[in-house]
Amino acid sequence: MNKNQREASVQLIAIPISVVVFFILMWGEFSKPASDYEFVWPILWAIVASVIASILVTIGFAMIFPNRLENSIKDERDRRIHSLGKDYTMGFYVLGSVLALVFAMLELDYYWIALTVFMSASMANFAHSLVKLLMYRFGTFE
Amino acid sequence: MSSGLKNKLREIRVASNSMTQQQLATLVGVSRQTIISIESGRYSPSLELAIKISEALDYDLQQLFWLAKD
Repeated sequence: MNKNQREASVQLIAIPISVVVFFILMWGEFSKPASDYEFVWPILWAIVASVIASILVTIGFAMIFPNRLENSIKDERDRRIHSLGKDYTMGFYVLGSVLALVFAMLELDYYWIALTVFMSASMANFAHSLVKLLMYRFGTFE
Repeated sequence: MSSGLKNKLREIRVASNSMTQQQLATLVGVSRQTIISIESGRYSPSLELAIKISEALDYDLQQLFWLAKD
């Protein structure tokens, strides 16, 4: 496992934690109309949770697998995999942006626009990490 | 899974004074995993890296890497 693989693995754990934290914090809001949802702090806490989870999982990996991290340099394969991973998962960002734009045009509540942006970014990052790990394992699908 | 680029890197590397994957990786400036991926056909190197590998092994580039005919 090199540094890039470890970072992708960390994201695969941290991003779902972030999403779960968001929905747990939002749980009490769902009995209200969407226009009254207090979603700003849950989103901010979800981002904080993602950062904290990333740090803790990175430390956990280092403790559980102290010798697994190969002292490798970042080479052209790492850069290619990173770039291809972005190409393959760009659709989530585009879809999220288009949906958020449509929701804004339809003058939906801010919550739906924020949720769309938050979820598309989360899914894009999750998919990016997953695709990167798959490419490290099975090749670059080119 | 990968492109039609084939190679006989492992064969030539072993024949070349039994050079290890790590030694070759260090010579051409990539990680050992990259050499493993190239040898197993899971990654097609750039032209620059292919040339560096052929020079490191002192072997003709077109004999080392070639495109599959199909």
